[in-house]
Amino acid sequence: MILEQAIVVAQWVFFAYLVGLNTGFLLLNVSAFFAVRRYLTDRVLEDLLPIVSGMEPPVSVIVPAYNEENTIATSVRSMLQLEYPEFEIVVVNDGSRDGTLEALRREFALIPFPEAYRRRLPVRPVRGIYRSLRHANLRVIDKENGGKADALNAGINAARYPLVCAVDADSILERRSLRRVVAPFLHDPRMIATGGTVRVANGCVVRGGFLEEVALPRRLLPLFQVVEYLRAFLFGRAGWSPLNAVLIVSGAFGVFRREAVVAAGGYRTDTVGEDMELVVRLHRLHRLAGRPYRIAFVPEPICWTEAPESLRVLRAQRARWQRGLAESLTMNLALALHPSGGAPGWLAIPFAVLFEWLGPLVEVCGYGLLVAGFAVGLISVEAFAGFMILAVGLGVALSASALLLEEMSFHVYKRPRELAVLAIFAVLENLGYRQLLTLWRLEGLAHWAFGVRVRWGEMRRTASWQKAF
Amino acid sequence: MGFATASDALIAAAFWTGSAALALAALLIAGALFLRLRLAARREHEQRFSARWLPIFAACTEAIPDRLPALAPQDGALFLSLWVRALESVQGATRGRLVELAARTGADRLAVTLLASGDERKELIALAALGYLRLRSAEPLAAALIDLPFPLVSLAAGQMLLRLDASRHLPQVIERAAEREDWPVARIAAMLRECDRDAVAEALAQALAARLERASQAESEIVRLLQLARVANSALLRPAVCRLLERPAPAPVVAAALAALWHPEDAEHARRALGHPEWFVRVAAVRALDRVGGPEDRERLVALLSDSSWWVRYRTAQTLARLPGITRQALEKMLSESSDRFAADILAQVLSERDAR
Repeated sequence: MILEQAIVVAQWVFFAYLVGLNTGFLLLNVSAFFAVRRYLTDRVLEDLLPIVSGMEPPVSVIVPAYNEENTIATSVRSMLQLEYPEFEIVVVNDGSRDGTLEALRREFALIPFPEAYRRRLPVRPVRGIYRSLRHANLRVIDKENGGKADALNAGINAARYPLVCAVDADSILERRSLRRVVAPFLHDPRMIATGGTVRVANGCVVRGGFLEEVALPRRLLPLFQVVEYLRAFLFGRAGWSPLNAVLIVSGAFGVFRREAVVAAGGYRTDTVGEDMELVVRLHRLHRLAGRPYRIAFVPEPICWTEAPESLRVLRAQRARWQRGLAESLTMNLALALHPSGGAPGWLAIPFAVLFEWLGPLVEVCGYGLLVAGFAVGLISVEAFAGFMILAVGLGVALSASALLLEEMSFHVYKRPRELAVLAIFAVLENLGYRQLLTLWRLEGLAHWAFGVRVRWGEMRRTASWQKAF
Repeated sequence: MGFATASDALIAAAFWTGSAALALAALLIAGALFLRLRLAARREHEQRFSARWLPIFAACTEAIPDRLPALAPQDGALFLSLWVRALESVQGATRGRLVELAARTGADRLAVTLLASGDERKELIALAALGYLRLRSAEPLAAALIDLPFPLVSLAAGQMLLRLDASRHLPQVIERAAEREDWPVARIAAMLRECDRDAVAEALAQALAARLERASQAESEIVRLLQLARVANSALLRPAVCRLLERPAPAPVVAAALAALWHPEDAEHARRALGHPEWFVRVAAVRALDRVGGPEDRERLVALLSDSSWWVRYRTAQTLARLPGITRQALEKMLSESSDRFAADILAQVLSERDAR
């Protein structure tokens, strides 16, 4: 009897969790709809009255690189062609064990540069600084290995300009990407950080490091991730932006006000989620000090990244992301429900704690209970089917709403066939893929709880887009 | 099951919520497919429309064609957005012919209608077009729109008024530019660049002077006006900027005023600010000397190479390297004679940067 009652209670909890989670996302979806509409109207004015005022703040683009000898030259070459009035590129070779530095030396004719390097942020020792004979705005910092966060901090120390743009070495950009992501800084002097939508590059045609043609991947795993990225960026982030409660600016491509990052202490090196942690910390420090600030999200796709194509790599990535999330939230938990917390402290962080941090635990327990209860006869066929319809139905509805929002705004995938494929995958991803991700996220949660060590650079990319040259 | 009541209610709730979600998902997917079909139809219409009108716009470089297609009211926004782009790509008499073409097709009246459509996107297009059409009858409408709390429409209204009659509307637009923090300075600067430089400078000087008269100075407004002063760089602004630098003022105002200095006769203001306690003011002073200073500032700058702020040292070294008469040999001599490690490091860096250019 007690077991049966416990099962009923657990079922109610699981039901309430699923409905709460999806209601939250539905509200975010509504917020994202207005945010995207506002952005598109902004674009009309941008087209009719372009800002070419000479007042665009110069940007230091920081590219941390670890064992990137195959892709680094192409990446840097493409970044050098960004359409922006004034910018510099600072590549930070984080003690690569391959020929990354040699590739850079060869390609860009590097010579030693006697820079008066400032250690405003503590970093691992710098072994040398180089400048390019071919491009006056390119420098390379060679330092001892300290992880991605340490490399970014070394780049920030060397940055000459008031805005710093953190870009993954394997990010694929568009020529106007930098202009688009910097635009919010021109609109609002309180802006301290902006990020943009990241999309899956697998299947796309890339030439000279720039995206030339958008297409869907041919393999199943990246296809699932296309739908997932749509959902995550279009309303997972665009929805929070109008509330000034964006908790993550992707490490793949984000712009920060340099002095705000330095004042906050730079990227933390003791977390694998350094990009999210920095943003949550910026919220915490500014909110608690009562300093006005804005962190905005640009809904337009401006950065493309290669998604994992193997289960092993995807598993490692998702476990790492979940761990990063847990670390970012626990390191800044003081903001949660704080009287000065505002939308980040009262909405975004509690939402992230309940549905993203602890989510995998609740979901695995819920699904586990359903399957186990059904197997031993404690849960009827009707109950099992009812809950599966609920879980899958809500998941499909969310993916479908992301698809609709994409179609209302950017419709990046031009061919009608692609839209049909995405619609099919919006359904299919709820029949196993999402549950698999939940398991891996739980693994990440366990890594965090038991302090398993993970370092950057463990994920290998195939850089298959380079074959399109 | 023994717990049938609670469980049945729960199962029913789960089943119906899930079913409703699936039905919603089906609707959303159908909506996405419908939007794709509509988009395809709209693009096809736009292509046909462009194919019809773009050759006519191109023909206006010679003369307006005698026979013009009829312009349907529902195509007003599309026509005007194409027309604005066409107009911005040409100069001289062709512009006049395009304006006449718009009048002959009735696009000017459509623009006025769009201005009251309540659709922000259409209003923006109409405002952009009306600025070029110089339709006086639309002036009161735009004057009302400039004070709306929506930055996009109010900015576009300001732009339209400036295009219509810059000399008359500049003071009004500059006042809003100072007061409205939701108007990005960079966008206002882009608008002002289309106007006569002296007229902009005069309006800015008046706005600055008015604020200097007031007992309580609005610091942020003065800073915004000084940032815009860089668009004008006119002698008309010198008195107001110098007055600001002659009196005690908050550091951000001093830095912004230093950034607006451009005349060599005002270099003394920059020299005085080299000892300011705030590092960013010292940086602004050094950068001002880069523009207005001369060889006589060499010793002052050399002393600043040992400043506690890296940025002051860096900008100082750059300014020194650009001073008239300072050769590479002179810089190398400074480097070898420097007893201060910070000064030597920054000089070495700037020397290397100079070689890179």
